Order: sequence, then C-alpha cells, then structure tokens
Amino acid sequence: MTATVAMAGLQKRFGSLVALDSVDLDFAPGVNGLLGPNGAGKTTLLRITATAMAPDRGRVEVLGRDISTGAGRLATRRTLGYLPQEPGFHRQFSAFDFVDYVAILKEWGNRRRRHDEVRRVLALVGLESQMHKRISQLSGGMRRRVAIAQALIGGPRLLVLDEPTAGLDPEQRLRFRELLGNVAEGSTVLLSTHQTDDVAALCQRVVVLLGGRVAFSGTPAELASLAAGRVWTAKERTADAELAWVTSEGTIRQIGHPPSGADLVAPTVEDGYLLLAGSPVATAGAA
Amino acid sequence: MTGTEWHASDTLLERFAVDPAVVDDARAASLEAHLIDCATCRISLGRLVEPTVVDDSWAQVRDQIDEPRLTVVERGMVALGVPQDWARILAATPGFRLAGIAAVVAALVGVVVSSRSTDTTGLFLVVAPLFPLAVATAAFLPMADPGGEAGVATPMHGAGLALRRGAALSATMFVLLGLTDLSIGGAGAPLAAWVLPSLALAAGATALGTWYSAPVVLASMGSIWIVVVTSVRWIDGRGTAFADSTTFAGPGRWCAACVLLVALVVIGIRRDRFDTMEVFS
Repeated sequence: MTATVAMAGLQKRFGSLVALDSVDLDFAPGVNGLLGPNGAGKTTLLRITATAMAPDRGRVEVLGRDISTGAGRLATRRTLGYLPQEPGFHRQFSAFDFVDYVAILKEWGNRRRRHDEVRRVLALVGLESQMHKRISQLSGGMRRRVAIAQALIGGPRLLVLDEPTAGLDPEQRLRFRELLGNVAEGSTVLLSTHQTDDVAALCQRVVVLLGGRVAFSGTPAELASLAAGRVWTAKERTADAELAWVTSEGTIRQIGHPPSGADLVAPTVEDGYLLLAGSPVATAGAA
Repeated sequence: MTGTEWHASDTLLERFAVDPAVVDDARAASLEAHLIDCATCRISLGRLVEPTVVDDSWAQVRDQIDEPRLTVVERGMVALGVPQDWARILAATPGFRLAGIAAVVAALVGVVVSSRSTDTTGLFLVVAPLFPLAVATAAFLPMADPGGEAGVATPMHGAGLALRRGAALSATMFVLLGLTDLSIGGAGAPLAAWVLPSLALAAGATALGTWYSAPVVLASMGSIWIVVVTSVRWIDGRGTAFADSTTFAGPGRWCAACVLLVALVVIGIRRDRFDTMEVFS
C-alpha cells in the first residue's frame, strides 16, 4: 500500500537533548499507533508531521509532497486534522466559537457551510447540546472532545492525534474508538498514546519510540509476540522477573526469563511493550 | 377543532408559501393571524411549501442562533470595513484582548500624567518605541493564538497572517501613541523622532524572534534601546533635552531607518519560521 507519510533521516534536537535521532518511517492508510515513555519523541514526531515544527535534518513527505517547502506545507495543511497534546483554548470562546475559529483558519470561507460543518463535528463527539457553553465551563473530558472535534473539520485525509484519549472517561474512550473507526476509513491516522489497550483495539500498526529512535515497528500482534514465552503467573515473585505485579486474581503476573515449569500465559500488547521499554537488550535488537 | 369556520384557498396559500411578499399586506396579515388558530390551514400550507424552502429557512434561523457574538474590537473592525471572518482572526491576536489594550491605555495615561507633572516631555520619546516592541512580540506569538498549536497547523497560519496581525496591532498602537503625543502638546520633536525608532524596534524584535524566544527578544531589545538612549544623551551632554539628543535627531533617525530596513530583509528571508510554532520560542 502506498505510504501517506514517509520520513527519512529525521532528526530534531532541543539544545543537548536529542528528541529524534535518524528516524525512518512510513505510514500507510489506517490507524497507526505511537507508543513510548514520556520524552521518547512521540510529540515531536507528531508535531513535525503536522507541520507545526520543522526538523533539524531529514525529509518528510505527506501524500508525496515535501513539507519543508511552502507549497508542500500548505497542501499538507489542507488535508490535515491535528489534535495537539495541549490545545491551548481561548477560554472565553464557546465550543462552537472555538471550532468555528479553527474552521476559519482552515479556509472555510462560506459561513453557512462552515457552521454546518462545525455542528457536524461537534455532534460527532457528542457535544451538540453543549456547543454554546463557554470552554471554561466545560469539564476536562468535554474540552478534550472539543479539541478532537476541531481536528475532524473537513474530513481530513491525514489525522494526527497526540494522546487523544487522555482525560476521557471509559465510556468516552469507547465512543472515541467507535468514532475513529468510522472516520479512519480511507484516511491515515497517527496517534500517540500511553494506553496499550487503545493500540490493541484500534491500530493496524504500532511503532515504539525509545530515546528518539524507532525501537519497534509492526502489528500489535507482533508487538505482543515479543513477549511470547516470557510472561507467566505464580503465587510469588520469581528472582528472574524483570517486571511483576499482582493481578486482580491475586496471582503475580511476571515478565522476564521464566523458570522451568512456569505457568506461561498468552502475552498482550502491554507485555510486549513493557518488555521492550524495560529491556535494553530487547530495545537494541528490535527495529 | 380549529376554532375557525373558514379556510384559506389553496391558491392563496400557495402564493403565500412561495413568496409572502406577493400577497397584499392586509390579506397577508389576516392570513397569518388565521394560520395561528387554524391547524387545517397550517397543514395545507406545510404541504404546499417546498421542503428545500423549509430547510433553508431553518438553516437561516439556526445560523442566527449559532452565529458567534462579535466582541467590541471585532465590531470596531467590521465598522471600519474589515470582513467579519478577518475581524475575528485579527481580534483574536493576544494584544487585542481588552486586558492588553486597557494595560496599554493605562500606561500611556501614566506617561501623559508624568510628562505634565514633571515637565519632562522627552519621557514620551523614550518610552513610546517600547510599546510597539511589546505589541510586536505579543502579535507574533503563535502559542498565544486562541487556536493554539492546532491553529498553527492550518493553511492560513504563517508569515502572511502574522504580518497582518502585526500591522493591525501596530496601526492601533500608533493611533494611541499619536493621541498621547497630541495630548502632551507634542514631544518637542517631529513625529519621525519616535515613529522611526518605534518601527525599528518592532521590526527588529520580529526579526530576532525568528531565532530567540519572546522574553529574550523583549528584554534584549528593550535594554538595548534604554542603553542607547541614555548613552547617547550622556555623550551629547547631560543637560541636553531628549528632543535634541542625537538619538531622536537626524543621525538617530537614519540609524533607525537602517535598522528597520535590515530587519525587514531578515523577516523576508526567514519568513518560513512564521509557519511553525517555533517563532518567538
């Protein structure tokens, strides 16, 4: 499948901190998840893809256009929906005002059509009855939904979402999954998250970033399989376990090198991610 | 039960449905009053009206309800002929918020009061260029835009938008500064004495903002200005009035014009920086 986003040799530094180091990635239509600990470079990668930040080195193409040129950037922005980690609302605006304002910036000049579109995206995120409330009066979850709504204006072909489910309650998260499943049809979605269950439920492909480098790229099942044969449960913690926690059943779920005769269990995406993020050996070996 | 014994003819209802203006006023008023009471005629009218007309009518009502309310600044811009969408974008510039304008006006009133009470009209010449400097920094901060980072990744974001905002804000600022100049009876020097340094500082700050953060630009440009003004006055001789100081006389104005020109060239060369959130950061 043709890549919507192609990155080659991407580098970005902030002073002495290397945020991205020689990142080569392609993203095809569908939902692509980015996993990684805080400071791994996820937000920087998404900001560069969304044209909000320029890389120090390397090349990014979106739908075949180089976004380092003015024309490429403009063309990309016309096909883009972007949800930043911290949207930075003007709190005196209502939800409608805010989304309408972003729609103006997205060149929706015809007021009637623009207002219809604003109502459509606010309805998509379930805020049709709250659209005239000031943003300062909305809960954190509702504000997140307002921010998601502005990203959906115009049905973008590329949707860049930085931690879209942060602040959403469990029901809203499930509704968001349903929404994304609908809007992602035919589009390319890049989303960063700390929720491995979101990745397992939504993503066709997952990329793990560690220290600004690509530590893994594959399907969620392939990420889970990294931990195959290395997850077990026992009544007590084993010395060889790299990570261990008590489950709701009262047993201890452990990841690492299982002792002989251990009660192995099927690994999840979270197990694969934890093994990768917590193990320097695995990190160096995967890519 | 309709509460009426007569019903409007289909012909009349059809004419009324297509365009109420074609029915004479008396008959239209009578029909409107009748329709309030008569459910039968309302149903008949509903059948005669094109669904698209109803949809269109409801869309207009909905748009009126949903239309964002214009702020005082937006209304002022629309009255000056600025299109409504642009008025919203320009008025959203952080420096145009009422608190910002109120702070500027309060500071200028302070300048007027201190100039009159201490008879140091030259004070205006020194502080006037600092206002456009502060305003330029506020105008170009992408993160202070109501759209925040989401607004950065939109087609309209970039040097064009930033410069339009800067121009609108600077124009407002220069009007306020001009009024201040008038209210203190002139600063003892021609307009160019403070306008050129003001433009130079604002453009210089904008150019430097393509490399450095807003606080760094504001502090460094403000400090440089104060150091230059006081040093030159010291060289000119302590008793020299600000209005007669080299900074505000011919050589100073030439210098300011050169800084302005260089800054505009730098802005032109580095205009791509305004496309991202990294300008002034």
